[in-house]
Amino acid sequence: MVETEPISKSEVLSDIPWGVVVHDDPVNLTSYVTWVLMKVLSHPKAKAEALMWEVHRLGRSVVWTGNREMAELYAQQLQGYQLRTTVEKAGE
Amino acid sequence: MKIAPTLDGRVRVDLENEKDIWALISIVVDAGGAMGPLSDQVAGGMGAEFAEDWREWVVPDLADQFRAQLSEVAGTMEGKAPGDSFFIAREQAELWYGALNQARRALHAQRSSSPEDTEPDDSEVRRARILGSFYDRLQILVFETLMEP
Repeated sequence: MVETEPISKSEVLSDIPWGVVVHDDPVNLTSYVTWVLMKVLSHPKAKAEALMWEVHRLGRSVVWTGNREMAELYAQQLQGYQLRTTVEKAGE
Repeated sequence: MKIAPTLDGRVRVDLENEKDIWALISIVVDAGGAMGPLSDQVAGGMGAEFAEDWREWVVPDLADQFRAQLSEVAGTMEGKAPGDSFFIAREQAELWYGALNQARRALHAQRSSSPEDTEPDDSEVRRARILGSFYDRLQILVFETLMEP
């Protein structure tokens, strides 16, 4: 049997992917939100449009998940395009 | 004012009278009158574990970015007189779009905070409605002509 190192709770938590969440606002044009999601996250148009409609209909959408550093970078870029954006642990 | 796409992929703006100049300078004036910094609005929801870093590192960068958008419009309009023309090129499109978005946000926030019993013919309300409609149209033209693939 192969011995394994015990994993601490903090190590487990650090592996949890982070989500970049875009929130709806009444000003941004729908076509612009789609364009920003394509430009910043390199999403194909169909996916960007689906996410944009999710933001519009549900008030928010997790537009990207992955490691914390990239999530922070993407959030900063999306905020620079005037999209209200937050970062949260995926599944929260 | 005449605004139209050109064959070489820019947007040409012809200023015909003082009102045209006033309408474009109003982009900067309206955006500057926003209730609270835009950088705080777009980044304000960041959770507690990010808040300090965001306040220290990200929000100042965002504020610079948003100021640059208004500076682009203000710089373009500086010294303009009736009869002058200027062009918005692809490289300037995001700055113009961003400035127009800031102005639209500010007008929207003003509308939202106005008491419901505001008279519809109130001059400030009328001004906001006319300029808001102008900003919408110019923003769509900039986006569709210069930004969308």
